[in-house]
Amino acid sequence: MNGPRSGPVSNRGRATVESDTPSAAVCEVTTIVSGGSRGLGLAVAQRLLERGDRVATFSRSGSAALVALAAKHPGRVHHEQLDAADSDAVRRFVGNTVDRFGRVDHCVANAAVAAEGILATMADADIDAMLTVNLRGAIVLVRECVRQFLAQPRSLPDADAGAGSVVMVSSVVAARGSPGLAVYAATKAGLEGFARCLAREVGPRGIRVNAVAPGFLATDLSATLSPSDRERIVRRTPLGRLGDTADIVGAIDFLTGPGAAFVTGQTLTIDGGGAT
Amino acid sequence: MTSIDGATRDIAAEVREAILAVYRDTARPPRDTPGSALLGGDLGLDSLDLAQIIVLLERSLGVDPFRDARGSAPHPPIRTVDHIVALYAATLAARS
Repeated sequence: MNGPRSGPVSNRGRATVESDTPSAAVCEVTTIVSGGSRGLGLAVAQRLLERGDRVATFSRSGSAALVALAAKHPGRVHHEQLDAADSDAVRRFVGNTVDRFGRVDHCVANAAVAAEGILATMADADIDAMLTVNLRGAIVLVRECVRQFLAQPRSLPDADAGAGSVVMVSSVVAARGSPGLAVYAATKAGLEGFARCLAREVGPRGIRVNAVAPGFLATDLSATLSPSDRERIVRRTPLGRLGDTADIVGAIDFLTGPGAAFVTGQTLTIDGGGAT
Repeated sequence: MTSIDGATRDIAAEVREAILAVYRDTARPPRDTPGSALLGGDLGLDSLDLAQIIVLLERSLGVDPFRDARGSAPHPPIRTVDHIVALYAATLAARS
């Protein structure tokens, strides 16, 4: 499963920019990564910066790790503190990214919240938070990025990279199911259907849309698993271990890169074979 | 349209430029774009082309009638170049 575990979201619209020198060269690749202050989003941001992208990200709160990453890549990180559920703030964020970096080439829709619990006793607020952030928030972000893809020149430093790409961060529970995660899984399954449809819709413009579906990761997301559950998952995984953030980052690096120029409408499951 | 003022003429020019930009972006030969031209039948534009035109017009005219129409009555069908021009003229007039 992937996605930060947290309660309902609340804070709105407080903007912070954590990198220093603004620069607006229009020929470099810019990637938006939602939820980039920690966890998988932070790891994705780090990888993309290392490959030369500029990265724009937002999250409900900042983090020391993101500040350190921005300091390591001066002028190449744009961060705003906002709530993914706030459509107007997300819209402004994409506009601010374009103002700062000149364009958007890839979008990684990663921001998510998860509230565990059996459906029968789940509060409306938890259901609403997951639907709003995980599904609606991701859709609004991608809509804004697609609008930008359609508006900007297609030429990229690497022409094979195409006219823009989107990666939705789903979860293996969308396809496999898991008790206590029905609503979370519903949002992730929604993202996968969204990706398949949107891939067909914008494919004629060369825009690619894919999803990744991580399995259980050996991070704090799976720290709540009991030792027996953890052992059971590892035993059922052909590759014999839990996934690591790096496993997912590699897939996103691929899907947003020239190697995936002819890949769209796909969900790449990354769970060591556990779902097969 | 039988009579247009200067503002509408400017809008019409922007609409035509956006249509030509879509042709360029999709490597299609440009076509004449008289106001009465049907977007689909005469100009060969599909719904994705129209979406791109709307995005481009938001950049040039500063409004998106569809995005800005939260909760209001649905727009009339957009079938011709003149329909687009009229929609943007009405949207901009309502804003001023």
